[in-house]
Amino acid sequence: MRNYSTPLVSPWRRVLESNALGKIDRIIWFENEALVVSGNGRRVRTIRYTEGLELWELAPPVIHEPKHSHIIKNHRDSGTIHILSDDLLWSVSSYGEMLWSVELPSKSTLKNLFLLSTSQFVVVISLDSNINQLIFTYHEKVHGTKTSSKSIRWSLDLNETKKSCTTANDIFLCSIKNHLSIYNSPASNSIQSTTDDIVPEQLTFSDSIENYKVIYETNTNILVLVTLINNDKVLYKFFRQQQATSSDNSNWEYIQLEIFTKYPNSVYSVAMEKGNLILIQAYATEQKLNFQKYTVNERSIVLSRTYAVELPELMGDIEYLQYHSNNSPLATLRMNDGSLVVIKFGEHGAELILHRDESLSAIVSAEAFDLSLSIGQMRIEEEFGGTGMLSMFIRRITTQTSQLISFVLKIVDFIIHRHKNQDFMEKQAALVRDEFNLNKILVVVTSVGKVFGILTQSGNILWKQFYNDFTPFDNFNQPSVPLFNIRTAAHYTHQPLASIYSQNTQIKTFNPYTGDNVANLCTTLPYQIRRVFVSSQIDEEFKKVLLLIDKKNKVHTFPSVPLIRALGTTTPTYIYLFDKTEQAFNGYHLTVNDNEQTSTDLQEVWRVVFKNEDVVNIHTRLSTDRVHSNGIVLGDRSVLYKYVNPNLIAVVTEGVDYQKVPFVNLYLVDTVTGSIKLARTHKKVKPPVHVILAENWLLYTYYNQRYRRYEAVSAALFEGYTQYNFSSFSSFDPIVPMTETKAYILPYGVTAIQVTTTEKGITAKDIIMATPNGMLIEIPWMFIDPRRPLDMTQMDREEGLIMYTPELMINYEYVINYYQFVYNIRSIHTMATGLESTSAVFAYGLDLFYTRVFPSRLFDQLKDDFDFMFIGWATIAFVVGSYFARRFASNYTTKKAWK
Amino acid sequence: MSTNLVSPTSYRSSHTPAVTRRKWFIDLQFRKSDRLATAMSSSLVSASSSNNYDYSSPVGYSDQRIPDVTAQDEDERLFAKRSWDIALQPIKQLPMNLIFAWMAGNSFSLMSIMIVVMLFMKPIQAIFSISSAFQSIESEGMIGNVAFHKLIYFLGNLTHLALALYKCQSMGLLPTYASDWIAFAEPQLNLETTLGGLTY
Repeated sequence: MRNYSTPLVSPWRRVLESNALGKIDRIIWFENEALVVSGNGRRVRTIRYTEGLELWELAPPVIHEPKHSHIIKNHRDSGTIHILSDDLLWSVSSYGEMLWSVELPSKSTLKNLFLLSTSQFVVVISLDSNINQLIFTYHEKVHGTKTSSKSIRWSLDLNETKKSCTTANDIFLCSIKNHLSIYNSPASNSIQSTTDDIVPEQLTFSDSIENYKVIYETNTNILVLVTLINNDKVLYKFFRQQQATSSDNSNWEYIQLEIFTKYPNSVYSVAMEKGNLILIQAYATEQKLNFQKYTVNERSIVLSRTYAVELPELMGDIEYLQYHSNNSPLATLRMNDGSLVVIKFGEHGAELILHRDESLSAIVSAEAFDLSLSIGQMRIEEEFGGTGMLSMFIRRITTQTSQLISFVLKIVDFIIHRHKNQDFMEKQAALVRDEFNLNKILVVVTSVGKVFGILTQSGNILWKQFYNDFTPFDNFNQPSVPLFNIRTAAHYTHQPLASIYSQNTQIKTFNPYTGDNVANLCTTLPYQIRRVFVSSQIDEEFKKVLLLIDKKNKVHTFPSVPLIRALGTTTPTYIYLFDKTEQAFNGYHLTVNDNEQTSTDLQEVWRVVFKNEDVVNIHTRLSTDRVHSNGIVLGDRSVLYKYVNPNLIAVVTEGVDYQKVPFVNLYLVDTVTGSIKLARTHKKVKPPVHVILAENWLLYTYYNQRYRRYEAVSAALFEGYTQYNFSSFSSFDPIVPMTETKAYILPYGVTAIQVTTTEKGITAKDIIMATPNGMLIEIPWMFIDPRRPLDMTQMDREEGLIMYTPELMINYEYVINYYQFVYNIRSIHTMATGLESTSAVFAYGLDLFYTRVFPSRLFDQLKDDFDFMFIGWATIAFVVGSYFARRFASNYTTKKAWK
Repeated sequence: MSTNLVSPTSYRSSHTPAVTRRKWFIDLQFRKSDRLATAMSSSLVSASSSNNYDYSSPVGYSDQRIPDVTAQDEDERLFAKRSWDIALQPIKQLPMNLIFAWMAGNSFSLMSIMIVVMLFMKPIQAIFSISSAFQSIESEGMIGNVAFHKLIYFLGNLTHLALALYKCQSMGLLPTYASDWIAFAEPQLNLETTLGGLTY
């Protein structure tokens, strides 16, 4: 029942820009709206709480990419925000007016770091690393004009200063070893004063300071919590007498409050509650959250109450805590696993009222696993085993008897219990493979180390597992976690397995249906590795083996098996590795040595080095990419053979040429021979470059800076009208592929791009493109075909090609998510289903979206509106009718014969 | 045949099995074989009367057996004519079928498909019923060597089949191009495997 007495607040969401502009620097909470500063001080906007309406947005006059920003709220004049963004200082009022902006003097050694606000001045604290001085520049509050500046000698360098210093209200704090220096900002009459004015007060501690944090900040009170290396925590309360004259002369006084906890990972939040200053301390132990509520008095701190809340699952430590006490006391927490938790404190204790897995917006890898066979299907598999005639016979009889018994039991169960355990049955049924293998389990790994199993038919989370000590790899500035399908559900006698590998050399293996860890397949490797692969062959237990290449280019296997077993003996294996520091690709030939069972050496066979350009991404063909037809049938019925080289990779590089023009290069590199099969250069072009490499073609998109539009280029490689070798393909074959290329103009930007996959590759391939405005567009390959002719001939028409037009017209029918817009999509995963016509699409980013697409329509299935009843009754009617007609016919002939 | 000569009556009881149920009937029509026989007999009589005329005998009677040489010749000639007719029948039909095929055109429509099917079905049926085509000659009691005629008949039907194939070819129904077999081509076997990527 909905309680209508309280005003309904519909949930809302605002998605900011996906690039650096949308990265939130600070949020300042006002009564009815929040002021959000993002993009290192480049965007300021206010959003109203009730409906998410953006009231106003401001951008500073100078557009550049700031590296550093500091945003403060003026405590004397609470509606004013001061923003320091590299060399720009500007002020904004809470009703959306830019008060003033000042360009600060720019010098390479001078870095503006912090802001302070006093009653009359805005103070910029900058570090001149050349003369090792910290400069306090005073700007008048109303107009921003510079009035005076002071400097003090400074020993810390830029990073140390950034790390160890901060401002609170009008004081500047800095920690050095076991001292905390407090620079009380000089008063308004400081214009006449000398540098000697700025003399820090020093707090000295018994041990070095690990960190300190300003946890509460008002005009009259500041709470600073200092954590020492030995985990001692000291709370300082700064206060000054609020005087009617509101003079700056009143200096801050401080007292040290009781040291009260020793929990290592506790977090704090302070709020005013009924006139009292309340400090909440929270820490997590296993699956439990503990809260301690303190009242901060004038000169003491008193523990008033403790709370404990059981959590539904393991979430790690608390990362962030915010205590609110407007109507009912609530605590909002962000946990280590990315969960958002809201706790309500009541008279009877605390309770969990909201838990959301926000880490699902940070998926780094996804893999789909087929659901397991049903018990009936497994029995059928079992039925046809055995070798001897008698044993086969006995096996069939026994399995069929057991099938019969289970069928009878099922019916009995249904009659007795009816709908009692229907939910359970439905849940079980959801985990069993359907007729066309359309439903799957998506295993997704998030950047925080939480792994989820998601059912595709409902989107429900089946299981989750949080790996506490888990760090993803950096894959061209994107976090990535290798996720491998070790054993599929096809081997029903063994449980299916999936493995993930993390940067701290940990291998975790789990069952993708339950998320349960398989202890004997989890390990921490004793060596650092360069790359991990999964083997092509399966071992005795039907599982694939992880191949690990360590820093000395030795190949290891996990679990340890002879390399011959893992790779097979028929085809030679080549390995290519890209070294980011050298910007070089190295190709190795893997020589399998019989004597060395588990580790072997790599033999370098080629090397490709990029100079004056940086590799920004490497794209490979999808492992599920299938090529059904070796060629394309032309209009005159001859065949144009495709150049299907499975060893190709697409390498994207960017750089700036001697005329200072930025360019993007794209290469197709054969990873066996190291030869470059295709090279393309685009000048005045901006990444990100999204690439698809499939079959014999390549598609990539980029932003054209000259024409300010997104463009896509498709290229296809062909062998020609004859095939060099129809039965096998080797990279050493002397084939020079012919290339066809066409460029297209895209109507939208691109955030991710992928090609559909089907089981056999017979179905046409479509491109799934995610756009910044939240659409997922399915573009038929026909539209981006590089063979689209400029002038149509009869032959082209016969082949079914469309005439080339540079603009890609996107029909709204191609938007596969209709109006369910999904934003900031980072990647799209496509998977084949049991139906050849059907490909499943899973897009992930800030939002998740799953659907099925039919690139060549549903050619292998009856339509949804197919009238089974009509066909069935018609068939029965015909059978019966023909029977009677035969009778009548024979009667008639008999009668006729008697005439 | 000789029995017909001595009893040239126009009515007689039939001994065909189909009419056994009847008690009696008068056949007012000459049967095809009878007609043939009387026509032959009249010429026979005139030939014999010039040579051996014997008044002591009643009209139409001869106690000598007349050698039937000419009749044999005549049979053979007719037999040859008939069998050649049958053997050359398919070749005679060929121009008509050519016109049919040409009229149908190379586009796919119900008519052209039906004509192509007909072009194939007819000669194949004819080839399988080759013996029944020559049955009529045998049923008429003419016995001779038709093997050669059968061969001609067979070849004639083959020309029809060739026409049908040509029609298919011109309509593009024959898998004579490489593109027709591309769907059955095995995927190429890869002689190398590669693994790799960015080093961590």
